[in-house]
Amino acid sequence: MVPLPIGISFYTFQGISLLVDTFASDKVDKYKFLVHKSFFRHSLNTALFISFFPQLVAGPIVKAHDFIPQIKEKALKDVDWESCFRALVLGYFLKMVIADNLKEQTFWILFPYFQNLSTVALLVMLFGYSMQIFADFAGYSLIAIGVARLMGYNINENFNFPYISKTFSEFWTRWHISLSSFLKEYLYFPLGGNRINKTRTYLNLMIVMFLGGLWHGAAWSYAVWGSFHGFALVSERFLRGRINLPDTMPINFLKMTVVFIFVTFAWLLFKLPEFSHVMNYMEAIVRNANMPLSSDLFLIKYNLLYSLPVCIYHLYYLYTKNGTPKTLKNLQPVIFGLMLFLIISNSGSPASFVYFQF
Amino acid sequence: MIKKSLIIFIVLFISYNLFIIHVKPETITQDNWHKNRIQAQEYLYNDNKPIAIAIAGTSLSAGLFGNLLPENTYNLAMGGQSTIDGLEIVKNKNRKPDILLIEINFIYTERSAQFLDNLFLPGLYMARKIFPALRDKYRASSIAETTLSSIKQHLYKYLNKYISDSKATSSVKLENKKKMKNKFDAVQIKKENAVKVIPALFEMNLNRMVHLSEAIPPEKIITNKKKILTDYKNYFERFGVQIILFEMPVHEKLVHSKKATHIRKMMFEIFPPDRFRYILPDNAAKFNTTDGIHLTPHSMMNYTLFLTNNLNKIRLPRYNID
Repeated sequence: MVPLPIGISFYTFQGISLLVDTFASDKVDKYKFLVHKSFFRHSLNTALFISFFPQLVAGPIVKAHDFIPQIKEKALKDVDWESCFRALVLGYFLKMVIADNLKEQTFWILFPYFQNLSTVALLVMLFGYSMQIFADFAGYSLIAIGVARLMGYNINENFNFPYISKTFSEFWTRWHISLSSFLKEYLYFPLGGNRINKTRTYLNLMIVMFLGGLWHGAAWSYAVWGSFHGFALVSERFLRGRINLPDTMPINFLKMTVVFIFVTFAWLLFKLPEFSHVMNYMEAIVRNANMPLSSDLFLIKYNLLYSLPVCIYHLYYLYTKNGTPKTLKNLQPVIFGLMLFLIISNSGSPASFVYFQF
Repeated sequence: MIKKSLIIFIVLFISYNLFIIHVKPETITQDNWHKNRIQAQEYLYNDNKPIAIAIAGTSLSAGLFGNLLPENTYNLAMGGQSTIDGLEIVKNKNRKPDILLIEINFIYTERSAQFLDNLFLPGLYMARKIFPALRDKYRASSIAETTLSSIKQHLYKYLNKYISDSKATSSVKLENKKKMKNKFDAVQIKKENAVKVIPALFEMNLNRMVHLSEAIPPEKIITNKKKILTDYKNYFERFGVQIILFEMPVHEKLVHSKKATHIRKMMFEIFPPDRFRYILPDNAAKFNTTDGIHLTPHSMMNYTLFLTNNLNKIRLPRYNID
């Protein structure tokens, strides 16, 4: 194993963003302001941009042209305290109450523990892991955003309720938005995007997703994960226009379910980096169909309990998409007060953020 | 919004603490790590009962039957944790036990830094003493679950009394409910006693353990472990704690493995048998395991009796039983 500096995946991309924005022929005029006239000042700006601690270790990945213009004197009176409070409380709730508790319930996904569990338990744990990885990463991103806002810096949202996505391309506009946006701007578009021809578009999508997978770690499981998503995007693009489904609620729900199931099964490659263990897990799902549920009820119960807030969070978004009803607005202090209480009284054992390893 | 949220939080927190202090609700553990933290925190914060014997071990001895062990015994052996974790917890409590039982099987398992750091974080350690709501035993969702269950039971009893007083035909329904409850209890008992041992998996796990037991740790690790254990020995001896070492029975193929033999030899060096008592299983074949190292419930019961009998033979110093 080779030890790597913490956060290297993130600040390397930020460095690439700065270099490309400064020197690329199509950007050099647009982003002239990135390089300060004074070398000393420019060095300070660059150092701050690369080492800005709220997002240094695990993102969100910030682009130079979004961050550097914000570097100026800040005043406490300009801080949006309510927005910071919301981001921090929600972030810590997702991380400490949901992710940290779910991590203990989904521990049994690891090899060889899953061998003896019933099919229902295996599927519920996978569902739980899907919720866990969202809560962990989205929680961290919200904390980073909240802390950055306390210092007067706005970092873009990194998650936008990804599990209600109806298509894979929509999923990648809602999940780890800073990464997908970076890959689109600095890799997909320079490769030609979808401007050349269909075959080239498919190839570009596969390259981007393959490299996006490898960004997570130098292991084949991540590359395979990225390729799976690439294949899903390519298939979707191929079928677009060939299959036209009506825009009705049942069809949309079915689409969301298909995308969610695919994404959830793909997460198995994150939890079980060894491919043989992934295959064993899939085999166990089929093989253990007749195993009694009785000894797994506990595990199933708590996986579902701690996954529920993430489901409610997504349903809340669907319900309030066209505006938040007044009753809900009035209930917000109660919700945030309760979240604070649960952070103090219902946190799981502390663990490092999943994305710290990247 | 911020002020209102903070006020609601403070009201909830204070009310919850008062509820815990006055009602002393039962709790339910949600997973293995939750159980471990409760076990460790109860040992540290509960001074009501004096602890005469403390056990430090791993998942192998975590399943010892508490009601068959001598009175005032506290088992700090925890699934997923190491013997060193238990020793560290005993060390950090002001009041030391009279006897410290140390499991030697997996003595090389490293201490769980994250687990211990969270337990002994200075501010949090003191805060948990003052505010019981911060202890894992009183996790809000666990207490909510047990409280609701308790309300349901009281309601059931009330309905039962009401129905039997009114001589309604629904006594038949109640009979059915009782039958269902008895059936559920029977299933529970069966579940606790049932052991899901799939032969192919058992062989796979056993072979894996045999493979792992053939390797002795590098010299640097051995030296480090010797130092750590010697430090603990000297520390506890200063407080007059009697140390007794025991080995949990494992599958026959593992009893005389390279690692097991090495561990016994190392422990005899640090804790010489002429000064320290050892309780070693006389016959591994008598005990059955689920995976080569963890005893089945029936074997665990037998081993607990074996351990207790041996402890009695050692003629332990008298201690007060409250």
